[in-house]
Amino acid sequence: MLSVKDIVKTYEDKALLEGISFEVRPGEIVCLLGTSGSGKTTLLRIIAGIETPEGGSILWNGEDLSQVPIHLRQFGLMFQDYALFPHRNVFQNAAFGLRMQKKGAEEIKKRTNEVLELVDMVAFAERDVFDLSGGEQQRVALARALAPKPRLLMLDEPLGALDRSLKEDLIEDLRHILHKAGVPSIYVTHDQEEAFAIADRMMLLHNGRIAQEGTAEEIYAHPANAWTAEFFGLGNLLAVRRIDRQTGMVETGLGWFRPRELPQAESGDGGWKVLLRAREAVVVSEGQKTENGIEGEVSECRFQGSNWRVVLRCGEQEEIYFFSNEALRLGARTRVWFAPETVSCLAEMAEGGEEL
Amino acid sequence: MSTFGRKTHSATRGGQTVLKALTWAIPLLFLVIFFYQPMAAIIRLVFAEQFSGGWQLINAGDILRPLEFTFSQAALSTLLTLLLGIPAAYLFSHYKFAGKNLLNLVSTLPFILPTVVVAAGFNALLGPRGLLNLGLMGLFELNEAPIRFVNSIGAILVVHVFYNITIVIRIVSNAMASLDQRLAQAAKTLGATPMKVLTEITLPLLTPAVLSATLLVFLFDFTSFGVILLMGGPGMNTIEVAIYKQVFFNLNLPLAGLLSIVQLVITFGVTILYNRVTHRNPAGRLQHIEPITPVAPKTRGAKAAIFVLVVLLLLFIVSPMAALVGRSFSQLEPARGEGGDFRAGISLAYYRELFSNRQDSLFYVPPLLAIKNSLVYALATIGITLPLGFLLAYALNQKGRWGNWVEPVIMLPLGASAVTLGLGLLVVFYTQNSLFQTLPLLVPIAHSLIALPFVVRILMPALGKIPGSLRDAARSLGASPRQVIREIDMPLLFRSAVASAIFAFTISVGEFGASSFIASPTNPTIPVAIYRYISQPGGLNYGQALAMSSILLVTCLLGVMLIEKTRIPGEEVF
Repeated sequence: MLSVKDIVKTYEDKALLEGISFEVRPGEIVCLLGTSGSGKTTLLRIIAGIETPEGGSILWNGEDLSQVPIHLRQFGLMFQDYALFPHRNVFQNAAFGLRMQKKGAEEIKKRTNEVLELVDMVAFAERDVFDLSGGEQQRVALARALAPKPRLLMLDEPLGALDRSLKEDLIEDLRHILHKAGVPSIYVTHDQEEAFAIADRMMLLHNGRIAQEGTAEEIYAHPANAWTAEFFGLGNLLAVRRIDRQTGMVETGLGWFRPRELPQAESGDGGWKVLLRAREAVVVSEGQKTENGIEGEVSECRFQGSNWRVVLRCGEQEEIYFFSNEALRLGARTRVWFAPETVSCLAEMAEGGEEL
Repeated sequence: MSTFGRKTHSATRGGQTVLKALTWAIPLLFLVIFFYQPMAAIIRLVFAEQFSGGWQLINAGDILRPLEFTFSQAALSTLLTLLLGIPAAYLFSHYKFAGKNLLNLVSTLPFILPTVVVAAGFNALLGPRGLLNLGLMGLFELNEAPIRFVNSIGAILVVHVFYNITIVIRIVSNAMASLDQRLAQAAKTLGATPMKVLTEITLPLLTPAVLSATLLVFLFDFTSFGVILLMGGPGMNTIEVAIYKQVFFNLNLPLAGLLSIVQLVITFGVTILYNRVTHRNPAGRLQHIEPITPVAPKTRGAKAAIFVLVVLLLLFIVSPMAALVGRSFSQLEPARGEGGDFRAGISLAYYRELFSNRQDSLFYVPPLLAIKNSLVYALATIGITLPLGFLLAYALNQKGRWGNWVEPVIMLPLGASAVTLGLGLLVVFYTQNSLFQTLPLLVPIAHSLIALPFVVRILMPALGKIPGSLRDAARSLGASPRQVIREIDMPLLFRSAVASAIFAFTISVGEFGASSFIASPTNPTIPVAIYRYISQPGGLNYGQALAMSSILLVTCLLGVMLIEKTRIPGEEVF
C-alpha cells in the first residue's frame, strides 16, 4: 500500500504542492484529476523518486522511501510522451526492465511475450518504435512499464497525445488490462471523462491541495466546494449575499433560494455559493413555484446530441444555463424551478488542508 | 512519521554539484594550461621585451606591411568568392538539375582537405613541374614552364576561392531556399512591384546570410597560412607567414609575438561580429515556412548557366585532386642526380621512394616515420578530444547560471589561429629543461585544441536531443545511473562519437600551421614532411611530396565519406 504524506514542493519559488496526503490500496486505480499546472505530473515524479520534495514522505507498506533511489523503488511509470527508447525495437523496449533485473534470457522472453500479448502487440515485436502509430506506441509503453511487475504503476496522461475516437477505444482496453494485471495504479489526467471511465476513486488536485476525494458518484452528488462543482460543470454558481437562518434561505443576485441545508453557523456568512444544477432545472408555467424559481428570456438554445443547452437571461447582466429535453423558442419568457434537495450551498474554495 | 530531511538532500545535491563542477573543471584546466597560458606567454614575451629594449629591433613596417597584405589579399579573395558563389547559390536553391547531388558531395571536399594537399594539387596541375606545364613544354619543345601560376598572387586567390566557394554556396543557398515564398506573395498582394519585392523583402532577408558567409570567408582568408607559404611568392607575407618567418628565419620572437597579438585581436573581433550576425537573423525566427521548391530549368539561359556551373565547379574542385593523384603515379622528368636517362610513363617510383632510405639527402626526412607520427598523433588527438568533448557537451547542456559565463571561455580558442597557438605553445613548453621538450605529446594537444570546438559542436546538440524522459523511464524500469549511461546515452551518442572521432582524426592528420611550429625536426608529421619535400629542389622530392599528398588525400576522402555516413541528416558542422 502506498502512503503519500504531507508532500510539499515549490517550483521557481512558488508553492506548487502544499501538503498532499493520500493512499493507494492494493489493486485500486486512483485517478489524479486536475487542470494543467496543478502539479499532477510533479506529484507523480516525486512518488517515482525523480524529484525530491521539500517536505513530507512517501511510504510503501510503512517503509519510508526517501533514501530509496528511483531504480530500486519498483514503481512503474508511463510517460506522457511514452519515452520509448528509439534505439530499441518493440520487444527490446518491453524487455528493458527485466534485463535491468538481470533475469535469465528464457524468463525475459517469456514475460515479455506475455505483456506484449496482454496489450495485443505480439505481432509487432520486431518492429522499430518509429513505425508505430500513437495508439501502438502507447500500448508498448504500457507493456514496458508492466513487464518487470512493478508494485505500483503510475500513468501520466497516457492518452493525452491521442485523438478523441482512439481515446474512447483505448480507455476501455486500458481499464481491462490494469484490472487484469491487478497492479495498484495512479492515473493522472485533466480529462474528467477519462477519469470517470477508469478510476475506482478520484482525487481532485487544485491550488496545491486535494480539493476533493471520492468516487465519481460521490463527487457528483456532493461536490465539496464551488471549485469542484465548476470543474465538473455541474451548473450555475451564484454568490451568496446573506443567509437567513430563520427561514433557512439564502439571498443571491437572482433572489432567495432554499438549499438542501445551510452551512454551519460558526463558519460565517461570507464566501459561499449556491449551486443550481443545470441538469435539475424543471421548466414550469408562469406564476407556479414561486420559491426556488427563476424567470427570464431564452437567449440561446443549442442542440447537443441528447438534449438542448438553454441560456436564460434573467436581468441586465445575469444569466443562467440549464439542460432541457425539448427545444425552447428564442425570446420566450420561461420559468425554471430547482427542487430544494438539488440546491447546494458550497464554500467558495477548499480551505486550508481540507480533510474529508 | 519520517520526513524528507533537508540535510540528506542537500548532501546528495552537494555530491552532484561536485560532479558538475568537475565536468567544467577538467576541460577548463586543459584550456588554461594549453591555450590561455601560451597566449599569456606571448603577451608577456612582447611586453617584457619593451623594457629591455627589444622593441628597437621592431619597426612599424614589419607590422604594417604584413597587415596590409593580409587585409588586401583577404578582401580580394572574399570578394572573388562572393562574386562566384552567390550566383551559384541562386542556381542551387532555385533549380534541380542532373549532377546536383554529386556536386553537393564533391563540394564537401574543400571543408576537410588539408592545405598542403590542396597546394600540392594545384602544384601538380599548374606548377612548374605540373602536368600542364610539362605537357606544354613537351608539345612545343619549350625550355621553360609557360604557365607561371605558383608563387603569384593569382595562385593565392584561386586556392582561397577553391577553399571557400562552397561555404558561400551552402550558407547563401540555404538562406535562399528557406525564404518563405508567402512573404513575397503577401508583398505582391499589397501592391509591390517585382523590383520592390526584391529590395523590400528578398534582399533584406538574405543580408544576414550573405554577411555571415562574408565574415566567415574573410576570417579563413585572413588567417590563411599554408596556402600563402606554399603558393605565394617571395614578399607575400600574411601576418601568419610573417610570424613563422620571424620565428624560424629571423629568430625575432618579440616581433612574432607582437604580430600574434595583432592577429588575435583582429580574428576575435571578426569572430564576435560573425556570432552576432548569425544569431540576429530574423528569418531564423519564423515558425512556419513554405520554402522554395527547386524546379527544372526551362529557359535556354538558365540551362546554359547551370551547365556552365556544374562543369566549372566540378572541374575546379576535382581537377587539382585528379592531377595530384595522376602526377604522383607518372614519371615525366628525370629524378635528381640521374641525368637525362629515364623512361617517361606510369610508375610507382615515387611511392617506392617513400620506403627507401636515402641518407645522402641534406634535409632527409624518413617518409614512413612521418606517416607513423601522423597516425600516432591523430589517434592521440582522438583520445584527448573525445573525453574532453563529452565533458564539455554535458557541461554546456546543463544550463547553469555560470554556464553562460564559461561558454565563451571554452569556445574562444576557435578564433585563435593555428600559428598563434603553435607559437604560444613553443614559447611556453620549448624552453630548456622543459618536460615537453622531448615529449611529442604537444602536437596532439595542439591538434586537440583545434579540433575541440568542432567536436563539441557535434556532441552538444546530439546530447541535447536525448529527451530527459528516456533516462527517467530507464530509471523507473530499474536501471541504475551507470546502467542509464550504458543503455541510453552511449548507444544514442555512438554515431556522433564516431563522427567526432573521424573529424578529430582528419583535422589532426592534415593540420599544418601549429605542427610546423611544434613538431620536432626529427619527428615531422605528414604535412610538415610534404612542405619540406615540396620546397626542396629535384624531381624526386617533388614526386615524394605528391605521393604523400595523395595518401593524405585518400585518407581524408575516406574520413569525409565515413562522416557523411554517420552524420545525422540535417546537421551541419560548420
